Amino acid sequence: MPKVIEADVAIIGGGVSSAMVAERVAEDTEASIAVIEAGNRIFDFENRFNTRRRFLDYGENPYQGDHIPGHSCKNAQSRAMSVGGLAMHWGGTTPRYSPEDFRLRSLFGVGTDWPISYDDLQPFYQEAEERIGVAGEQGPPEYDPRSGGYPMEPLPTSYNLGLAKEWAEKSGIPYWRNPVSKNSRPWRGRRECIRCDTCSICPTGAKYSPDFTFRSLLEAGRITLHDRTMVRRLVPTADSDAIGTADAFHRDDPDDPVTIRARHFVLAAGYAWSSHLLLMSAGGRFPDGIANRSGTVGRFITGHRWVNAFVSVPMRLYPGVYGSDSLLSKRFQHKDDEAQPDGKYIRHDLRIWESDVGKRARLRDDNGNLLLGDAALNDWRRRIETGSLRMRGYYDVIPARESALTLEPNRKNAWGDPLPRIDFVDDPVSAELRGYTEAKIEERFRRILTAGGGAMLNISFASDYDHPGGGCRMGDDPDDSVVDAWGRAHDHENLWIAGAPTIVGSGCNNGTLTFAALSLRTASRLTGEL
Amino acid sequence: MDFLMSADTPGGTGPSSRRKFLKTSGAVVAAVAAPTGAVAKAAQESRSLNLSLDLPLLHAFAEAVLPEEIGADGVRDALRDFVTWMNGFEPVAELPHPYLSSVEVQYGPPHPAPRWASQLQALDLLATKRHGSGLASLPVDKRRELIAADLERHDVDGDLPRPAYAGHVAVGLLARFYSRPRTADLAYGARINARACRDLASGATMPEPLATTEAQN
Repeated sequence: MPKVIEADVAIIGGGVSSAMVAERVAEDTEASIAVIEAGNRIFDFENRFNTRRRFLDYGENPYQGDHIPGHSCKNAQSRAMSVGGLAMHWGGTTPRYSPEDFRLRSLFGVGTDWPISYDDLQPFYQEAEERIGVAGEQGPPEYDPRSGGYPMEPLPTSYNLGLAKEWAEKSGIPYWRNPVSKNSRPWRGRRECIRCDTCSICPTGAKYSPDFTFRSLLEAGRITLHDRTMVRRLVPTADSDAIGTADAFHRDDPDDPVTIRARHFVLAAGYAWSSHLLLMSAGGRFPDGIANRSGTVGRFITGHRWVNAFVSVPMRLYPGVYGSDSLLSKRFQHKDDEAQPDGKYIRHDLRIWESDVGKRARLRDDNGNLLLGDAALNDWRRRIETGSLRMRGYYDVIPARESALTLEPNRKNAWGDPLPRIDFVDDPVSAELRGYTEAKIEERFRRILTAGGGAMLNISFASDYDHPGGGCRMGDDPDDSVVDAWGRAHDHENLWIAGAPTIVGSGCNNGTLTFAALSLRTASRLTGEL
Repeated sequence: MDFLMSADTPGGTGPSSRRKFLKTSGAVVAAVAAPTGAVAKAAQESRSLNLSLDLPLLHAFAEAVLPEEIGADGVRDALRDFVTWMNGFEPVAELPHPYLSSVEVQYGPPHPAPRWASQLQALDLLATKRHGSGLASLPVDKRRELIAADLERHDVDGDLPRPAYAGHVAVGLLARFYSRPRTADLAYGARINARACRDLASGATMPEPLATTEAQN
C-alpha cells in the first residue's frame, strides 16, 4: 500500500463519472491518472453466470461486499460503494434529459436555468452514448431531439412490449423504445445482449458497467487504481486556493495515513459523497468546507418523484422474456397546452413495462380458500388469460435551497468521521403543485386505460426523490453555485466536480447518461490544461 | 447422481427410477457430487446443519401438495429441484441492498430445512394418531386434508414468498415449484422459458405453444 499517491490527475470516486473522466483524459493526454475508491474492487465478470444463478435461486447479492459496513448516508442513498459504483447494479436505462430541463426559468418561470443548454451538452451525450454503448430508437423529433443517431439500433421489441405499445397508443400518446446501454450488436469488445433479463447482474457484459472501462485502462497501463482507499479531507496549499493534497487512508491500515498529491483533483464520488467530502474538509481559510464560499455545497439536492401503477389489460401476455425492456414517452415533458393544460408547471415522462403483478400463482383464491393440487395451477391459468402492465411517470420536482445534505456530528463511521444525511425539501412551487401533479398523472394513466381497455390494479406515489443529484450545482454566479458550467469549482482552480453533484435539476428521466455526458464535458475542459 | 447436478434434467420413469431417486435424494443431505465454489460451501454448511428430511415422507407429502396433472414424473422432477435447491442454500447470505435505501446491508434467513423437517415429522405423527397409519399410507385426498388443516393452523396467506422465507414446508415446496420457468410454461401452455438467455430476435415473437407431451410432463 503506497503512503503517497502522486499523479497529474487524481480522481476521487470509482463510478461511471470517474470512468468517463479517466477514459477521456487517458485518451486525450499522456497525464498520469490515479483513481481512488473507498470500496472494494469487484472484478468478477468471469463468475457472473454463477452469481446470476444464485441471485435467481436464492436472492443473494450478486456483488458480495460492494458496500462499507456502517458507512451510510441517511435517507435515499444506496449502499453501493465499490469500483463501478451504483452503475454495477443499474438497469442500463439511458434517456437524455429534455431541452426544456435546462431552461425552466426561461420557459416556465420556475426553478433555475442551467448555465448550459441541451445543445451545449448534445455532443457529450453523443460521446457518452458511444462510449458506454447505447441502443435506441429515435422518438418523435419534437419530443426527442437528437443531432445524431443512436450508436446502435434498438434491441428488437419484445412480443409483450409490441402489444403494449399498440394498446397504449390508442390513447393518442406516442410511445417509443426506451434507450438502453445494452448492446444490440457487439460493441467495444463486449458481446451483444442475449436477453438474460437480469440486467442488474448481466452475465455477458452486454450491459455497460464501469468495471469494463477500469479494467481496460488498467490493462493499458493508463491508470492506477487504489481501491479500499478512503479520502477524508481535501487540503488547500498554504499560499493559494488550489488543492494541494488529499488526506486518505487504506481501510486495511487505517492508522497509517495516505497522502494524495496531484495537479488536478476530480471529485467524482456521486451526489452524496462528493458533498460530504467537501463539507468534511472544512478548516482554516475554508471554515464552511472546500468549494463552499457560496454556502451551497450540499444544497439544492434534486430529484424527481414517481407515480406508479399496475394495470390489468385485455390481452394475453407472456411475462418473463424481457421484463426489463420498456416503452418511453416524453410527450408531457414538452411545453404546450396539452402537457400543461391549466397553465401550471407540470412535466413528466411516461414508461410502460410488462408485469406479472396480479397474475402470479397463489395459495389462496379471492375467497380465501386454500389452493392445493390442481386447484392452484388452474387458478393461475384462469387469471393469466389477461395480462398486466406497469405504468410509471417521473415528474419534475424543483428543489428548495433547504433540500440538503448535512453532516450528522453524532453519527460516525468506523473511523470516527461524521456521516451525512439528506433531507429532501421541495421548492414552494413544487410543494404546492404536488397533489395536482399526481392527480394529473393518474388521470393520464386512466386516459390510456379508457382508450385501450383494462383496469387499475393499484397505484402508488413516491415519498422521496428518485435519481437524485445536486449538492454541488453548476452556475455562472459564484455566490449561488459551487462549480462553473464546466464543472470547475469557483473557489479552487484545480478542483473539478464531475457528474451527478453538478446538476441543477433532475428533469423527468433517469440520470446516468446525463451524469456521464456532464463528466465528459468536464474532462474535455480539463484535458486542455494538462 | 447426475440429476443432482442439473435440476432441470427430466427424471426417469418407473419404480426402479423412483427407488433410485429416493435413495439418492436421501444422500443429498449428506453429499453433493463434486461440488464447486459457492455450491460446495453451501453443501458444507448444509452438512453442518445435519439436515435430515425424510425423503420418502417428503415425496408422499409432495404428491398431495403439487398439481396432480404433472403426474409421477413431474412430482419426482419437482422434488429433485427442491432438494437440489435446499442443498445449495447458503444460510444467512448477504442480500442485495435496495436502491436508494441507506439501511444496513441485510442477510437472509437461516436454513429452513430443519424447521420443515420437523413439520413433516409432525404431520406424519398426526396421520398415525388420527388415521392409524403414516402420511404416506393415506390416500392423497386424506393427506391433503391434513396438510390443509396444518396450513390453516400456520395462518399462511395467499402470496408465495421466496422459498427460504416459507414458514411451512408446503409453502416452501410450492414457492419453489411455482417459481420455476417450466411451471410457468405449463400454466401458460407456451414455451416462454423465462430467465433463459436467448438470442435477441427470439423474444420478439409470441412464444410457441407447448407440445402435448411437454404439457403432460
